[in-house]
Amino acid sequence: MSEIDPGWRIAPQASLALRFWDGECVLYHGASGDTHRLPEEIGRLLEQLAGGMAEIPQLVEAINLHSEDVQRALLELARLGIVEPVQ
Amino acid sequence: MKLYELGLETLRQQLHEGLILETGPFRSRIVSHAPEVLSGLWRLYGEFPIHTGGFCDFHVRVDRVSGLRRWWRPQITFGLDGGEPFKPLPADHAFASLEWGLNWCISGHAHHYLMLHAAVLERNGLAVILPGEPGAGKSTLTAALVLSGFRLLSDELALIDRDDGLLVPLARPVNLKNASIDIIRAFSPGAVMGELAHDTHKGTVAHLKPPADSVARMAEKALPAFIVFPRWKADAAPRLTPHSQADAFMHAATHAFNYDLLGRLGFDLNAAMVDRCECFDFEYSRLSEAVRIFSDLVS
Repeated sequence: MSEIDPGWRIAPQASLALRFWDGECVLYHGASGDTHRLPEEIGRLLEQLAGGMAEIPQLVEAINLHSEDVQRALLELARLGIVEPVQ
Repeated sequence: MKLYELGLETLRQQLHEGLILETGPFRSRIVSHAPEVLSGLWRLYGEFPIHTGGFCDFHVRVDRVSGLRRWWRPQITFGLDGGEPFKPLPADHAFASLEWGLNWCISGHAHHYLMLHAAVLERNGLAVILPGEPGAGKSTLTAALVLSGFRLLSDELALIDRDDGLLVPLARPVNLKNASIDIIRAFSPGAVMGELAHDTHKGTVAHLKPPADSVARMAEKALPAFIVFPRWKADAAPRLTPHSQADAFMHAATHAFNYDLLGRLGFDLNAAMVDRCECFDFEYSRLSEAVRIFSDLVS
């Protein structure tokens, strides 16, 4: 996976804010002005990426989700302009 | 000076020239020749401060439409700064029109606050925020709580101060609709209400006079402590159950007047409010039981 997909990061202009409550989180995406309600794990994934670029195996280990779930979440977050693959 | 100190005749004259009324952090200069506005202000705003000059946030006018309409099905218009943002309404809706118009002035302009569509009450220093879908019984519950010793901050607009995250009072009359008018009359026969306005876009409406204590304390902000989503259900036993904080956040954001406009600040203020609050759903059928539950909550 890492050869095809070398890593992911927060999109440079995303300007994110996260808050967590009881297994859920809300995300403010400054670039779009949108607010999203997400499962806590996706918030933790974004926290990991906020600490620097990460590959999917690292994210899987950090947030205790299946690789497929992490990949699916990253693709959806990328579609929203929140994260992006590192070229 | 308080409005009632003017006396009715002087109030009438002041309304012709421009009455400066203080409601919470706002001053509105009101011009009106409509008898319904005179009687509504006299009956419901007696305890509010008035002023003779100085800066006013809103310059509003509620007056009859001129021409033939003056004699045939008379209508009134609400004006702001010389413009008329709404269609004319029947003349007997004049006071309701002033109330709705003032709400519109605040919700459309006071962007130095995060403004949520919710009622706010306080007791023992703890504010209860009541968001609510139309028909959920928010105004009825608000009126019952206010008539039972809770301080009224607002029945429609929760204003959150951007500097300290506290709730800012307005203490204006509670807007009751349709069946809730008689429910509140039965709950508290001594409650003071304005005249009924029939066949408005909300049905029959009447406004409940805010308690003098709520008006006297309208400079006193309150700490958000609870967000309660009320739901009236026939014959239901009163039941308070936890509500997701993330959902409360999203509900507040979705029903705010200016959350999107404030951007990151709106997110931070909303999140700080939710951080401070316990969140509940509340199902009830009897107001007396609801008052008991809320009194326990803030005790």
